[in-house]
Amino acid sequence: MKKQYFLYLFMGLFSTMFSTSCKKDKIAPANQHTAFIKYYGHVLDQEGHDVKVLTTEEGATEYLILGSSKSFGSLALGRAFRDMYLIKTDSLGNEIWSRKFGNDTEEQTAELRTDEDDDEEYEEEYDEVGKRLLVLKDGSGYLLAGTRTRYVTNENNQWVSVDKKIILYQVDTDGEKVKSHVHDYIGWNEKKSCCSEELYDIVELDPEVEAPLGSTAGKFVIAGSTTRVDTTKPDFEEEGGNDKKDIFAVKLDENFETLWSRAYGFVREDNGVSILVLSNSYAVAGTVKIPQGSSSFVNAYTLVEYNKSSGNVINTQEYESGGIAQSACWDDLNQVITIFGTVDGENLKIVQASENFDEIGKYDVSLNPNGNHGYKTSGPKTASDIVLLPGKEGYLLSATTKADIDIRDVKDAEGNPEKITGAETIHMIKLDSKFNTQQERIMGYGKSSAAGRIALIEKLGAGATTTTALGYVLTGTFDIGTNAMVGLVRTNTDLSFNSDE
Amino acid sequence: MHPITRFFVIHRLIASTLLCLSTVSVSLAQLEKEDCDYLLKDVQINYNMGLLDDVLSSDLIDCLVSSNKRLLTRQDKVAAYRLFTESFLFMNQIDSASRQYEKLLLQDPLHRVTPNDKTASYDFIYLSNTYRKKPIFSLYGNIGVNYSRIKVLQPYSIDNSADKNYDATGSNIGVSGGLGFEIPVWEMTKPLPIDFDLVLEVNAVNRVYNYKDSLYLNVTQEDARFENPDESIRANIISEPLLYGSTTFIENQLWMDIPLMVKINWRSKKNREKASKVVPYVYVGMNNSFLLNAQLKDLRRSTIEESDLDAVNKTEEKQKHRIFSLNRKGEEGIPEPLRSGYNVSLLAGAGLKLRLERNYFFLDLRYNHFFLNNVNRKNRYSDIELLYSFAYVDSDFRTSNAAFTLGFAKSFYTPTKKRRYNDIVLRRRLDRMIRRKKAQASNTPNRDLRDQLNRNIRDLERRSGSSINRVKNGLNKNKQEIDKARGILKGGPDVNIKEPKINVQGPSIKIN
Repeated sequence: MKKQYFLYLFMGLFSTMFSTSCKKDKIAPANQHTAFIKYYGHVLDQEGHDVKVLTTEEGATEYLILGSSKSFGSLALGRAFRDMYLIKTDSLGNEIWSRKFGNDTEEQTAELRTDEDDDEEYEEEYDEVGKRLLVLKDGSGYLLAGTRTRYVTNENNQWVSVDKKIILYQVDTDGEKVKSHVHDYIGWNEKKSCCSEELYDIVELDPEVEAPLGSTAGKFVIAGSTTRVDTTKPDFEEEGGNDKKDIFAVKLDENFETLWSRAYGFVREDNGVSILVLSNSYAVAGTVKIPQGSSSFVNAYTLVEYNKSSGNVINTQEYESGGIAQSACWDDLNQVITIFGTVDGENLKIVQASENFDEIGKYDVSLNPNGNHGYKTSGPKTASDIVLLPGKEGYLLSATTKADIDIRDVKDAEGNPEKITGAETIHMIKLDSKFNTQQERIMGYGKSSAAGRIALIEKLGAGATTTTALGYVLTGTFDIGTNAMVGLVRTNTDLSFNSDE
Repeated sequence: MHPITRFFVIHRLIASTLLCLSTVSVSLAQLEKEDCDYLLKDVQINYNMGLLDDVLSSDLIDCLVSSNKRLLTRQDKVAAYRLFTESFLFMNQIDSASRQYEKLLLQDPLHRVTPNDKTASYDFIYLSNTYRKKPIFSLYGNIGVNYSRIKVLQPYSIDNSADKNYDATGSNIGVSGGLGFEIPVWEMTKPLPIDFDLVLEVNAVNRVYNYKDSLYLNVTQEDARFENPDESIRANIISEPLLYGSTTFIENQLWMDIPLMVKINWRSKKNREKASKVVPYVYVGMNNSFLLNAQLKDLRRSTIEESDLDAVNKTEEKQKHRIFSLNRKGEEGIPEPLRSGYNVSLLAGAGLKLRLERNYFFLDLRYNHFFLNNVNRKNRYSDIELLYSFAYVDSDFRTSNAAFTLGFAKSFYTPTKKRRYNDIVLRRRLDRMIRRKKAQASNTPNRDLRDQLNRNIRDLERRSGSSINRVKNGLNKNKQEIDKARGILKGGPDVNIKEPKINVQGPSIKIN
């Protein structure tokens, strides 16, 4: 009998303990893709700017990231100049392939040129930054758009930048270059250039929508800034010397030929950051420096409306004194334009306007003042991107803020946590339809981290007329101490990384 | 007498008396030791002459119960109690004999009386077999070293985790120490001479492993070695430890293990009747483990200077980085724990017990196979420093662990009858049997059969006392077995043994 009791006792204990080991950990690979953080690049510094979500024919998700890298440049030049950097990943963020565009080989040396004016020889090199990425609607590939900065050597043999040009690379679905185009004005082959353009946004037009425009039905519209300012603006004669940049808009055809280009602004530095394709026109959201009082100028959000065919400016409006716009989105269902930017360098602010540019409202974006895990934001904030969420869920924002961060486990002599001060932190913020902060994800704390663009991972809802967000991705520059990497962050819809949903 | 003279006389008298008494007390102390030796020999002689009354009334009892432990050696006490036990047995005073035998066992719990012992009477052999020789329980302490191995269940990484199927971890040596509690529960003689112990331990175990990972594999570099990414990269990782970046650390985990085991001790057939000097054992069980602390030591991420690049060698370092602590869950500024605080493992092991009188040393080899994921999956991305400064994310993993320990066990004995010879248990069993038979009788319709059953019951009740005594004294033991051992039965050596009788010269018991 005693033997039986002993046996039952042991079996009972054994099975109790054993049963706890059968608890499922949910570690199947299927759960892995719900959230991740990935870095891409090599030993030197990289930047991440734009991300797109792709869906394969089989229904799998892939990601395409555009940025720049110093790691693959010319060795002869000490890898001092950036190349555009394109990365394609699978649904888990694992790299499928990556491509660089810029200096062709590691062995390439600088171009040697002769100045037409003084016959002087000089070396010339390019620094290219990929800013915006398009997935071509015809499925033929992708368009990489960015800015190329030209550098030449001066009399002291030092590299100095002379101008910036908009550069476009069209690639196929394997990332192989199909063609490239430098948006040019006169003087690009001269040591002293006349002007520069910088790209901030590009959109591909819907051919069906553009068809009625006939010969002016273009394929792409670019927004940015140009130093080739509008000299017909009021006060230009007096203030022309201070007029550095204007908002730049250009429409291109499928061969990248210019259909029209326009410069608009005031007599200081103005900048266009987002293209919005409205019902009957294009709008560029940006920043202008407008006169305040008699002698000072102040930044302001602005909207500039362009005629689709001619490119003529048909409407403008300024909002939010002190604001620098960084991104905008268009809600075509409710006919609302939403501009996201920074006011006075300290506050993230949203301004909404109707299609007629009438202001609807202004909203402060509040960040958790204490952050997570010892973050305390302190210092300038920079808005980065704003995306409209499907349904009436609200908006998703990305921004960069300066922060002081407690280093856990490390305390000073007084027992206070040691801090990293002045770190750049990347924020993803989810707002409801009334612009209240619902969730926030704070990432990174390197000195040169910066938020890039965000994209939604969507699936078609019932009836194929609506979509539902399955998750969000953000790209950016993640400074991990030793160097800066392109980062790709995939979160759940509550901005969490939890796999157990 | 003059008062002064009277004072000195009295004083001298008192002093002499005191001196005399001290001399006597010193002599008495010496005499007691010698006396006890003498008394023991005297008892031996009386026993051999069959003068059992003299044996039992001897002053030797005073030597045995004295608080002075040096009067008799342990062996002498054992011999003395044995003489008393045998004497009571010859006088059929079973209970008194049992009491004396229990006192013998207090001196020597492992005292064995084998059938081959020609100086022991049958009754004494029977009586000795009714007592358990196993300790009530044993307590032990152990220290040792252990070796951990990591098994990656699901790779996660901040770079290409599709290439992370190799084992990027290395084993390391940790230390452990603990206490254990062992209870003998079952002794088997057939078919195998083994006995079973139930064992519970509490151990503090430090488990350590190394981690090293190469970073930022760019599979599309224009380099021949990347033409076949799967194999080439794998080969590069194994044969060339670093590509151009790495993250390394040593993870230290402090666990409290509480295993529950069944231990099977092998008793040599040859030595079945004696306490073996060396006892091999095996065991199996389940282990509950509770994580107390985990931290990463020498955490380092570095980029390696390539031959064709200038000055790209940078390092992020941190000496200690805590990833789990019982006291610091979710405090402000402290991330959530990255490790799961509980695990369970199947363990198995083997060892040797080396007997040292009543206690033993042991050498032990053990293997733990953990079942659960070590990683707290909910908090995988919660450590900002690891994520954004050291570019590290935990893969799901579990550990297996091999350990070697040394220990010492102290056994605690209480002279206890074996259950089957315990008179209380016997009485209960007999009463149950009688009740069953009475119920059976009352349910029997056949009158003759019922009468027969009732007669049997009355007979059983009448003989119950002697039956219990008989069993209690081990007289139900197979006498043939003892006779065979003594060579009385065919096939054994001739041995001239006389059964002891009262007032007849009994068998000699040698005393050293």
